[in-house]
Amino acid sequence: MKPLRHRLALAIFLLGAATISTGCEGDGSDGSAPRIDFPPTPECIRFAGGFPSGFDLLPGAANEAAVVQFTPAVVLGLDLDFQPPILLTDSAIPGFPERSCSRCGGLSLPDSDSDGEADACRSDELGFFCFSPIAGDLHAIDRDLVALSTSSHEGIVLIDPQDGSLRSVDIETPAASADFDPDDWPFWPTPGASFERTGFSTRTCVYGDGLMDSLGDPIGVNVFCDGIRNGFVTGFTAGSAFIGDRLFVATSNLLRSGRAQYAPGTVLVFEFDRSFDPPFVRPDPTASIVMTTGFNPTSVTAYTTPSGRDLALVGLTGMILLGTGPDRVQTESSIDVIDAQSRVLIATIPLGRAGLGFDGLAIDSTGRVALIGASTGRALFGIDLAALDDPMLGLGPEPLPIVLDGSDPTYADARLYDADAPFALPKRSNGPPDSQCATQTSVALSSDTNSGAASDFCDGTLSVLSIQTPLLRTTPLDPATAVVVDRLQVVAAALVNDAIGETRAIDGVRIRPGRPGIDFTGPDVYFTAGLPEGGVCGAFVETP
Amino acid sequence: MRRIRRDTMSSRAPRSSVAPWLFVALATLIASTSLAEDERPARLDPPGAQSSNPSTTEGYRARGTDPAGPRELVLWRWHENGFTRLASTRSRPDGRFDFGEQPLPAVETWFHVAPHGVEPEAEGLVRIERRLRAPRVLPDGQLTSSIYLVPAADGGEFRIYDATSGRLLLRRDIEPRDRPSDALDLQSELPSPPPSAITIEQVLDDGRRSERTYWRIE
Repeated sequence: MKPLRHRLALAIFLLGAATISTGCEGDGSDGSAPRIDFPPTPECIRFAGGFPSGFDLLPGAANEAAVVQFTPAVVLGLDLDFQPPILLTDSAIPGFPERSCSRCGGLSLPDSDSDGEADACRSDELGFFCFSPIAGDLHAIDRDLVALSTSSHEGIVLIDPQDGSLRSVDIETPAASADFDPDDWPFWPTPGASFERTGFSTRTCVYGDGLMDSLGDPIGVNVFCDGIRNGFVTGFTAGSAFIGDRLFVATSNLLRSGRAQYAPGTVLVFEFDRSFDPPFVRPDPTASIVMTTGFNPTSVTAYTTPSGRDLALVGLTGMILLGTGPDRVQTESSIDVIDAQSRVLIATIPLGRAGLGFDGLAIDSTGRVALIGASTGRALFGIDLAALDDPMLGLGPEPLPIVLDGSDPTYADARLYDADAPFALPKRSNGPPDSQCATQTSVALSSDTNSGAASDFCDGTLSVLSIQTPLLRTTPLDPATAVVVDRLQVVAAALVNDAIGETRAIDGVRIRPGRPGIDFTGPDVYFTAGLPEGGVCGAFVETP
Repeated sequence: MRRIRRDTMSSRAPRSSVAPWLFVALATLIASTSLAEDERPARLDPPGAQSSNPSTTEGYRARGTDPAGPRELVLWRWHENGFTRLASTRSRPDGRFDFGEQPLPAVETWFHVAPHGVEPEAEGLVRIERRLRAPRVLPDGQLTSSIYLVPAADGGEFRIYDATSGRLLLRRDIEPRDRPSDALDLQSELPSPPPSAITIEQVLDDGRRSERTYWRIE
């Protein structure tokens, strides 16, 4: 047996050799040359399925996170005080319970809402085929409650990340009214009935005359709905956020991926009363559906203005064709602003054909800058949150939504980095050419310092960011100085052919709360890896 | 330092027939005995000892016995690129240790435990086999005749059967995860007339077969 220090010495030698041979790389974006760091290889917890579909820090616990293992679908709670992270639980993590379903081939299939019937069976009974849930985005509501979005069998599944078990809620359907038709929510109980479930459906009918899909085709009568009015049924449940006492859930409403055909985007609103045990959930009886201004809403981010107004910031990726590359973006991206109290879409911030990333907005510690990644390029996009400070924004007689692009001098221009002027991230010189791998990015900003980190899927790098905001919120932000790249840190292999077996395809990034080196001693930045297996890895970025 | 110790030892040695070499031999024996104890390997419990139904295993409770406990132990995972460190713990005086639940990243995952500071070695690996779940099927939006297949593990092929007759209709190699997969157009790729429903399984290169999933074609 050889002592580990021999291997460590070899690693240090190789690391040094790599640093010398590679040298410093320019970022190619603004002429400056960020320093390249080669820290020790990040340590990762590995799990099945590759490409984790969701990752979030757990509120109320500075050292905990949750990640989605795509298949078999489970939520893994992680203790970040260990290197690599370890599971929070000592016990076996249960998957979804399974039930046999004769109408779906007699197979054992998941029952994610614990109604005693396989999801596929229930889905088929209601005319939506034998669809089982496919794990998607993850939103941490609390230390012991996360909302897992699922598609195919569309819904939200509630899970305790401490042990991976399903969490119960009481679900109920509002009574019929001018604002709410229970028939449009086929998976929900009949009004007056209440059931204990571990998940709830995001399938509903949306009506409207003159609606067009992303290909410009008119939306007609839908067989899943009332069969009379024009409309569509929601699907492709995406990101969610718990704001006030409601859960806001984006549905992308994909009609056909091969053609990038989307119905108009929607955000569904659910009352989610946690003062009850179990919590009480129902579609908002007065405003359960908010139509977005564009196609393909993928994320929802909670934001509270300095005056205490709760807002839901909805990231609209726009219509994107399969594959990657800026030329895949076919329609405009934007950030839609929903007043959480009134559930009214009050404003929109157009960002051009940006192709926003799916991971939501990251907000800096001063609450001034919000950044979001790109789904098809090496860039970030951003908005100036001061444009939302006016507590009366959207409450006047003006037509809604207000367009915060500077076109109306009454309102501030909220755009900081858009498709015409993105925040370009540096490229790794020995990464794959864009023609082979046009990347996607994710960004996180520290809640305690002025630092941030942006991941590069193809290059396996983190761009270490510094955020500089003026003391006064009324002072305009200068895009040239508000966000700068301090350095580029290589944390994983690039997506190149000779990296098979190495950690690569990094995506969702999060910064651990607290001051590195003072409040904790481990890694301060965590990111997901999609290859060669699913993983969550910790990197030392600001930690001394 | 050695000289000082030797002098000290000889000054304290009894002036009797018990020669200093006896103390040296005794010390050597004690040292070799404790070294032998330190080298006694810690062992993970075999998977069958901890699960009433190993076929449903989604994770592995990495615990076992360390005859040289208490001491610091490290849990390792072995894969084609070598060993990866997973966790640390300390064995108890009674020799038992427990690293807690470990996820299983591959269909076959190999674990090893070694004392802290000692490199892991291939001897004593414990192999855990994960249940091979059914492939996942994603419709192409709302179109059920065009689907994406997500394998339950790397490698092998998909086999698509007529759900009614059980007849094998189509085989399709599974692309590596880092390559985007194309949608499978069931109308054009399945023999005509297509069946009303299919079942899909994954068959690994070593012949292991997954559970099946069911898909109705409208």
